[in-house]
Amino acid sequence: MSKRKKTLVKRYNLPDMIMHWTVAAGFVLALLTGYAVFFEGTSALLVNEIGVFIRLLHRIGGVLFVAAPILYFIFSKKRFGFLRAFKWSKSDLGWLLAAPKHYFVGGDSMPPQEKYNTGQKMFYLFAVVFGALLAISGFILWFNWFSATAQLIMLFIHDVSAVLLTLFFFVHIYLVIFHPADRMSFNAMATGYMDREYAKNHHELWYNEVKAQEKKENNHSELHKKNA
Amino acid sequence: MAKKHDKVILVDTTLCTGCKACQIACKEWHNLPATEFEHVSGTYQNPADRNANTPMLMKFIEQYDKSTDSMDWIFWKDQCMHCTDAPCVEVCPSEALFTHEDGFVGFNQDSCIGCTYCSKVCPFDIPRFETDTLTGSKRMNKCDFCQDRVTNGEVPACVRTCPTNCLEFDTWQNAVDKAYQRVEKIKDQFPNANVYGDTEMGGLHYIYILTEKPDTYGLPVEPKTDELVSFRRDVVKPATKVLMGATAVGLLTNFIVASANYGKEEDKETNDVMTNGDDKHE
Amino acid sequence: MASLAPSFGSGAMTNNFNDMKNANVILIAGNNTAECHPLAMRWVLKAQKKGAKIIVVDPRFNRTAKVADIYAPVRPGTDIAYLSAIVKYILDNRLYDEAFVRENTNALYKVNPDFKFHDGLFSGFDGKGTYDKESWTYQLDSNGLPIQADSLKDPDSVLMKLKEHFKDYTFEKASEITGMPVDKMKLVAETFVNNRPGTILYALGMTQKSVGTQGIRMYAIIQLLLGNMGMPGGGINANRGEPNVQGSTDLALMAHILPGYIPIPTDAHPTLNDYIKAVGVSNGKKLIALLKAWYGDKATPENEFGYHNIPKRDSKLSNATYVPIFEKLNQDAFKMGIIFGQNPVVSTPTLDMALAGLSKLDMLVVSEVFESETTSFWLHPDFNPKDIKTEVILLPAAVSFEKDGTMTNSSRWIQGKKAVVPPKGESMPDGDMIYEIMKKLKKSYAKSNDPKDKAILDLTWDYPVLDHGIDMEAVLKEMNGYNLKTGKLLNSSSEIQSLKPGETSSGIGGLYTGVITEEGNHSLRRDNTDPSGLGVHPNWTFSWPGNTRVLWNRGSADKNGKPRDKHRAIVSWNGSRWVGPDVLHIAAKDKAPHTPEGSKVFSTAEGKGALFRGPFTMSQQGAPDIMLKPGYDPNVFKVAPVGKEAGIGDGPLPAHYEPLESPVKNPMFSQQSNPTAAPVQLPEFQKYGKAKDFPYILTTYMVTEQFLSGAVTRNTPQLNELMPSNFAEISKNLAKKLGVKSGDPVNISTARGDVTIEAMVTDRMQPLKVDGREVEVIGVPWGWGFKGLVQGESINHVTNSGYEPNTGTPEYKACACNVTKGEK
Repeated sequence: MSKRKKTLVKRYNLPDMIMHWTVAAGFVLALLTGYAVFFEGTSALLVNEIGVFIRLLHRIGGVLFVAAPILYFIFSKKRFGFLRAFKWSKSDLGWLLAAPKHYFVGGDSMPPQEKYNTGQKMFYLFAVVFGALLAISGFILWFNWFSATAQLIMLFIHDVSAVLLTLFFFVHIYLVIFHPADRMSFNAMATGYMDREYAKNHHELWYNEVKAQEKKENNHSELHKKNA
Repeated sequence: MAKKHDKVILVDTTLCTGCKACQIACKEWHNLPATEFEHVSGTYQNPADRNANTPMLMKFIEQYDKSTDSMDWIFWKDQCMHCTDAPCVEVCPSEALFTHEDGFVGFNQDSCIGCTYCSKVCPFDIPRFETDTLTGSKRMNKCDFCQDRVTNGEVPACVRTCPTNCLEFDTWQNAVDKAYQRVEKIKDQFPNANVYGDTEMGGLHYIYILTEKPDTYGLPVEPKTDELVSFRRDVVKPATKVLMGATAVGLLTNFIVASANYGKEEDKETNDVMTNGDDKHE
Repeated sequence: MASLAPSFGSGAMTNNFNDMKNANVILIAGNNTAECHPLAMRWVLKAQKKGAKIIVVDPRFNRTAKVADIYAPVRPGTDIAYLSAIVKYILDNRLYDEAFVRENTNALYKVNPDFKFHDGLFSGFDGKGTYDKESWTYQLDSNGLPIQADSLKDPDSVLMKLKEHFKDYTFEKASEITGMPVDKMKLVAETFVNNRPGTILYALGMTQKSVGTQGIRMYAIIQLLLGNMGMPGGGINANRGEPNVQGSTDLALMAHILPGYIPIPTDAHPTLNDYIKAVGVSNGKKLIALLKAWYGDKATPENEFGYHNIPKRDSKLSNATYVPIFEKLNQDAFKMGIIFGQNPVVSTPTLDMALAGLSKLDMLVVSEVFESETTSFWLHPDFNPKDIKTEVILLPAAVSFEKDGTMTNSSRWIQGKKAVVPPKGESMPDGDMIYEIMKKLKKSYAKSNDPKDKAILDLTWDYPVLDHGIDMEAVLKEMNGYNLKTGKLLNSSSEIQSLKPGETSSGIGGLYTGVITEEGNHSLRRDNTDPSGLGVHPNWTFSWPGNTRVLWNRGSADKNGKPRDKHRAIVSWNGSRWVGPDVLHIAAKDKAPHTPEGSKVFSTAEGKGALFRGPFTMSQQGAPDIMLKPGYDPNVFKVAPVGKEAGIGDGPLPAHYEPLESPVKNPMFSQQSNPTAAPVQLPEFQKYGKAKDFPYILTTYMVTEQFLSGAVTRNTPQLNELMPSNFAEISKNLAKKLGVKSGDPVNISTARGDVTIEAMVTDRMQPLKVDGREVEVIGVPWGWGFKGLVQGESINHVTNSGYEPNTGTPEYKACACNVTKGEK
């Protein structure tokens, strides 16, 4: 067992990470350019060519945001991994009950969680649902499909989806970058590995799973050695 | 409602001879190129539709009544109607469209980013865009009421060139009064004559004397703004700000709480680890 | 203008554009005002807004018809029939203005009893194509003056001759001929008669017919009968198309006149004496003033003022009008041609004749703004450029904005202007080209002693040259004329008549005199005030003659000099002189209304408006019986006639003839078409089709967006976008029969050939009910060719080169054709 494996636990593969960061980059690009157009004040600065360029960036962001998951779904073996976000259990209920106090008052440890905790699942759900709405409405707007009224409805959907996603995005960013404890989880998506301690504390159910798997693998490999 | 002294263009369609001088004067004044050289079959109207280089188009409609053997050839001038309650101004993100102090919908093309929002809300389907291969559309173009001329004491180019005085430049109330008087006078010859533009969209800054009902011209009988436009302005945008503020407050609260608890939790967790006697911390 | 002059004395738009607003009814017939004179519509619609009725008579529902109160369709080329019905209606119901007719027309004059009209022919027909006009005269007294009947009911009187002549033109008969429904025709007649004053607008829609002159004569007769002449809001307004076409006719761009409408000398007038005796005192004096302007000090009484410098036309040949030029080109009559700003390879009927004609030239010089179908005729798709031996030289011309000078518009306003921008590149104004060419000619003939070369050597050619070309104001001064005794500019053309011949000069025979005087250049005046509100604008540029804005305006006042309509008081007698917003025309300004000089309304030889137009010579009363010195003798003015009218070649009264090529048999007479029409000269080109092969009628016209041959407009992208290609307008009825829809090609064929053009199927074209059957009319704009930024097939490939015998105007407006579904 390498030293690394001793303290860290593998959480994400390279394709997972590429997918995540591509989506993130696309989303941020589209987010910044989108809000530049959405809010008066910033929008007035976008004269002509700059504005057209910003709109181009927005489309590039949109394409990345949509293309990455699609490619991932086509090529990655873990294509149905996202379904984890839809599997809810008793522990999630516990998490939801404990969360307000945990986050806004302090103390009280949370019930053990799976690979994704309830908050993450919720974020994932939002990302999938509103991301899809955002993408669909976005492309309809881009290519000017259907009637002007339909366009207007799409604009509404696009606006609302974007706003809701943005709010969750803020939370997401906060937790992985600023939150004193949870920011450790940033490393998982940056390197693919999670601190064992952190994993045990925050994703206990999953950690146990992983550990069991590791054990099995170790036995297996020793067996191999023997055979060899 | 439109203000009494707003500037307005009065179009008396009974005096129009379809010479298209306005169409070309518009192009000349705005320095726009001619681009459409494909004849539109069966009509004198050319091009077939307005475009970014032809923000104003003379439209030709033929109506023949076989029973009375009477022909009606309708010519009308189609361009931005310059609504008082202009939805395009509401949705324009870059302030390229604005309500001019003289009442019309001014347009600063240099500020246009080609977002096409205006075209989604315009009840008259006015905005037309330069096309862009990557994003679909570039700058919009529409009648700008010759704002450069008008603000310098000149009349709009189309009015200046109209040979028959079919177009008149006047104040809003005068034009509306004149229009109603004229409609009274021509009722015998045109029983369907009506004034268009005085009540629509809070009052247009184009007032038309029409000889037939508006739908004959393809004009909306009751043009209106989609409610989503005001919903976006009054609800979505403020709500966004409120929600973003609330989120920020929430996250800040958490940061304070989490920071205060950080040491404690660390200890506790360390203790746990010690107790469990599992893998060591490094 | 070959009909207005014989009717009134001189031919031009009688009133002016602005004056149309004074009308109570406007008959627009033979003129698509809205499309071809869009600005004129301002005044037409001003009248309509005040309550005037607009009547449009046209084969198709055009953009003028769109604003009309009454639209009446008519079969191309048959206008005389419905106008005759209107005249009959006026005469039968005695709706004419009796005082006006008695005082100011020849209605009471007794006609020669030998005058006859039978089955479409007037008395004196030679059976071949010309009339002896001997019997078309008045009964004369011993002084040679016409005998007047006591009553308008005298069967010999002109009015009764009219009544007799038009008696068969009932509304029903006229409807059968023209296809205009009877009720429409009645409405047109009633509306025009009951709303006075009324004006009539016409243009090429009336003149481009084999009976063009007589068609306009119908207008003259109607307006004289209704007393609409001389009245603000009345008159006959010929709308000239090109902005300076009035100027170009004033300056004699025609075969039969010199500048100022002075008759051209022929070999029948070997000396100046002979010429003056033939053309009368007034024209004689004008010619001498013209010769003084051209030859200056070299023009002396001894050398007949240089009369022999002017080439004398062969009197046995007819005038070399438009079509005959191309006929003669094909007969190898010319070696070289010069064309200024004309595009005959689009605008000539039977285009193959024009193309073949031009290719017979050794050299062709064209002054043009763009390369046109004419400058590049050797590139015509039907030609192999290698086969064309003609050397073609293009002189790049300046456009109007690059030139100083004047433009005389249809209202007869001589409007001066300065160049806005300098000419581009090597281009220059036509005037400068001519100036340079003549300088070269003078140089190359400098050593010649041949008397005929004096025409060039003696010519005064001393225009000052400014930095941008010759001084056009000096040219205008030459046209205005000088008092040669004082060296001062003339103020009025009457000085040419009152001063001794040779003491005045005028390069246009006094027509423009007053335009530039010692006071200044009036052509540059831009004061648009209109004190009377009648659209007179006396200080806006200068209107010929003598700044008169409404011709024959003496007719607006009664015999006592009182305005006939107090709202239209344009001239009136105040007890000692004639006053009013306009300058009195013809009558003497200081002579009381009852005197012969103060009562004269028209300037015909007899001084009356001619309802009936035969030949008439007004001799000088008490002319001495003297022997004249040979050549030129000033005494010739004592014996020459005062006025002379030759009459009109095809009859003293109009009659309905079918177009030269018509699918309809003349329902009036066995004489099918104009008996005086010129015979075919080039049978290989000038073919006529049979009614059974060509059952439809083709008419041609212009659209607002493309001007004339399109040589300029089809090179202007902005205009091309408005009207990018040619089309053939056909009725839905015909389209259904042919199985075509808008945008499909249709093949239009005549005996001369065929063209394929995109169809425009429209309700604006309706089949006409003619002689009990339906006749289809096909309309095609003519200004298209193979050059320019946008191109199209030229309909003139198939039009008929037959022409009107008096003016030479081709019959573009009515040909027989066939239409089939075309190949894509």
